[in-house]
Amino acid sequence: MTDQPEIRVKVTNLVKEYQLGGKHDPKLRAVDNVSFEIPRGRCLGLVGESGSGKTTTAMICAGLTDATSGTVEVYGTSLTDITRPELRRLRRHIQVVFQDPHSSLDPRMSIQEVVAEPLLVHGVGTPDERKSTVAQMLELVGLTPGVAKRYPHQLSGGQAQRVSIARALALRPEVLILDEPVASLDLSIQAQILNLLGELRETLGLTYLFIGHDLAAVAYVSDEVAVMESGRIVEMGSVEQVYGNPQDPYTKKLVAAVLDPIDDIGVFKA
Amino acid sequence: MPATEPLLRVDDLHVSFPTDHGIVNAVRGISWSVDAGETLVIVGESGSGKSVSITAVAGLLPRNAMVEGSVRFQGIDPLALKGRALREYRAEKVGLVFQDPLTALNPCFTVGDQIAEIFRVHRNLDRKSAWTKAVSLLEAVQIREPERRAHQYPHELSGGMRQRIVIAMAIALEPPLLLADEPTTALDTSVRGEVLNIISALRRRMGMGVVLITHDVGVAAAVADRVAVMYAGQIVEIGDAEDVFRRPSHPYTRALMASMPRLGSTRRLEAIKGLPPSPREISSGCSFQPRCPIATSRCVADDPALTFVEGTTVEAACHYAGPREEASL
Repeated sequence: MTDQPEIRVKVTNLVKEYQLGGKHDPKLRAVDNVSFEIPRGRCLGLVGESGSGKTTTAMICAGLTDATSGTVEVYGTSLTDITRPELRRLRRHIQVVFQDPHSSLDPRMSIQEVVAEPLLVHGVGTPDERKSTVAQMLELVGLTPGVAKRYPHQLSGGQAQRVSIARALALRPEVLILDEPVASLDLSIQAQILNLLGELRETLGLTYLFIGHDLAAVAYVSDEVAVMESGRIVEMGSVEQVYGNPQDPYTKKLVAAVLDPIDDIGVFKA
Repeated sequence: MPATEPLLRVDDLHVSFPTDHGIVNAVRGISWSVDAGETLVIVGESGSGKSVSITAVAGLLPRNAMVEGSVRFQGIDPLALKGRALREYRAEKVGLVFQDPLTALNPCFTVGDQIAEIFRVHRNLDRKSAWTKAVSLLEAVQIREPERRAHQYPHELSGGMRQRIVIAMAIALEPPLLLADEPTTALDTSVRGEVLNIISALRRRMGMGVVLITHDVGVAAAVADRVAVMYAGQIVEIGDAEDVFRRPSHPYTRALMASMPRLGSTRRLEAIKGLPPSPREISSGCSFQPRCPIATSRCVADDPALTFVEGTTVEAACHYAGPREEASL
């Protein structure tokens, strides 16, 4: 699989250490020798429990945190050894959707401004063009044009998450990093967003890195999954393979802990 | 259970709050009961009124809440209690477990001290015997090395352990009823099972009635004897877990099940269109009708009441209620 032009994101031996306390204290290895690649148009799911290093890995891939060692290549360009302006240009192609839409949208900006901001930052288009891009993006994520004039607090969680997705898509990136995009949403809304993400991937040919703790939700959108435990990927493979026939003891434990609303009726009742 | 009075009965409970934007009807006429030794799970999305309804039972509603209907608990009406009697009711009759164990515990005291305080205040025990009781309680919630853990502060413990401490505090005075509001939501999945197991084991051993609130249908299915599904401040379906989840009778329950990703299933999720109504603007007729795939003009005109569905243990509030197997969702 190496060096195929089709690979959009390639992570090799990624390590991130945080210094605990003073410089003589031990270091915390949040990400420990993580490697994976995501071919164009595919979705890799990253599952694990809190503190397993999923989000740190994602933030390094988005160029928002520096790695201690190892490389991240997006489009064959290494994020780790390029200049700041180059990194800035590369970021146009790789955008992030965060967990809690209400805390990742500026409360003082109208939705129009929120979605237009990435265009402004990267100097894309005239004011009129930006306005029409915003309208297009809102339509793409299933929102009415009237939403543009509103403010984040006037939106429901599901609508706000659609706005975050519209903002992430405004620069027409090819790679989306989705960090628990449905975890803060109600069940009936989760399905709307999961289906939307699936449709967008298909129509726009997007590549996803999807982070989640809900194994079933991750399986629904992903082609492959990687299971993380204390900074390491303990198992990786197709969804069917990893969930259907887990090899690693930690994966087994995670899969066994999933509670299915029909198959697991009464398992903790007796 | 014999046809005696249940441990707790809630009858036609309404709870509303005055706000700057008019009155919010959070709970609109719900009735349910729980027997000793039974687990009732209330499932619903945020804003459906599930927390408000158990807050009322716990006697913890804010002063400005407007309450109608009745709650009977072993011959007492908790809604009518005041002062000392209310304090005693909260201490002796109901144990409470909330979502986030870190905010439920005091960061300034060791967990042992916090548990021991309950025995010193309510049982007049001296420091030493209260401490001993606290340590044995930690053992009851399956905390290893309880003596050492008792000396630790909440921040030194893992999330699952903290929630077990909260459970220990809730059951310290052996209340007949445990109210648990999203007890596993803040926990990792692998710890979730342990906590649910402990709640089940304690319920069995102490014969407690348990009312557990969750938005997680999987959790509900795993622990419930009976399930109440809430939507927009009302119960739309209530009955045995087996019937509610395997053969849902209400279209909202069915829609909820169909919108859930399940492991090992590649079926496309059927999202429920639209949004749940805001408690300020609930329309006439059935409150699910604007989002319901089988709604008719009758549903707009006429709000269906809970009625028994033949051949099931379920009561459902739908004109077209009827059990459907999961396959026909």
